[in-house]
Amino acid sequence: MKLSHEDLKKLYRSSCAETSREEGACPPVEFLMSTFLPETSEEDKFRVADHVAGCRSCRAKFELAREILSGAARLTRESEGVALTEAEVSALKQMAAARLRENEKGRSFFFRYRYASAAAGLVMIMAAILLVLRAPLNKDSGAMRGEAGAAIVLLNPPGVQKALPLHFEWLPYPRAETYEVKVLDERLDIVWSSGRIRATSLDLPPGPAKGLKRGASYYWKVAVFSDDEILQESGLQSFQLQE
Amino acid sequence: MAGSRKRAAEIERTIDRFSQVIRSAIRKTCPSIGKADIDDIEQEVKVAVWRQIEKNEKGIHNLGSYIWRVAYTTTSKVMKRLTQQRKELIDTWDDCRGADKAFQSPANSGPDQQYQSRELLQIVGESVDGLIDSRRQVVKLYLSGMSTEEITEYFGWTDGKARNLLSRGLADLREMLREKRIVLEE
Repeated sequence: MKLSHEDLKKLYRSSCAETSREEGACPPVEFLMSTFLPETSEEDKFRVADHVAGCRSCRAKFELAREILSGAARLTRESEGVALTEAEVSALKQMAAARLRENEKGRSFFFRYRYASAAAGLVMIMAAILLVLRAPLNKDSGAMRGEAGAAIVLLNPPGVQKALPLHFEWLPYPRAETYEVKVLDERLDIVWSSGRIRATSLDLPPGPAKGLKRGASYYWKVAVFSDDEILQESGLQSFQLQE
Repeated sequence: MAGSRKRAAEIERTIDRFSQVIRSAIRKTCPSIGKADIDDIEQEVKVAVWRQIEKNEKGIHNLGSYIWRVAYTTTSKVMKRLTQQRKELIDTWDDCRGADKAFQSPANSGPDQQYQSRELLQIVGESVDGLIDSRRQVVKLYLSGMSTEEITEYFGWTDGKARNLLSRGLADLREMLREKRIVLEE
């Protein structure tokens, strides 16, 4: 399978979205913000970078803060090294007081148009949600790994297995040295793995077999190896133990 | 006196530009936040900045650094307010970027596709976590969407350091993925 850098970024962000974080593992906003200060140690910046890259919520805050402070840094470069006289500081403080008074007066005026702004905002949110729901899905339905080539043919078990032992069987695969069988439950969690075997069939051992629930659906698949390199993987085949 | 007022007016223009920076940053990070919310935040920012200036007791010896510190303090307040009072905005930020879901199988896809997607996500996540420390952090930030210039700026490094770490980190990652029969383009 080939990946572009853009695919890799999407994959990485998706893998982070799947990972749940422990409660309380996120740093406080103050600590996250402090890593943008020049005096913060590289070690602390590394810690935050490590966390942020894998945490959706903190990444959102981090990106927003970074965008704002980058923009602020560009603005401040124009004023670097400029010192204000006492008169200029005084004039600035007077302007600040005036702007704050105007703001207090203007709040009632502003609130008159809040509902119209809120309605416009709601329309924009609905449009954004519709756009997100139409985002394209990955259509890659080919083999994920291994060479494009002959498929592995799975023979047994059939859909419904009446009795134990559960016997797995498949056709030999060209150039195969070893195989590995995996059994998965309905949630696609692996419940048993055979490890590397040379045969093209085996019985599920009694221990794992006892753990299977009658009536529940399971899946199995086979991976083919040569020199420890995976050659091909079968698709998932379902089976059920009859109740 | 006229010169002082002129200086104050220049600083006011800088503050207006700063509030525009905040608007742009919010729109870029999550376009689903409504205009009314952005207007609110912009107004809060301006009030917070003017309050800080009004209360300033020390002289201003370096205007650039002063403005940056004011911007930093204001941004911290905005971030805290957003996270405490508008948690739903934080939660929806990542959802806005639909591309993050591009490799998650839809709920109605077959078990094969779902399993393959999960395995691919796991391989990528584990491979990145397997990189050595300094390269891992840089690669993680790169995969999260930061450019090498932004990474350099964040760490305060000299030019080239981020590029070198990223180049070596991606080379290591390429090798790990190759062992899993996944080819990462150059």
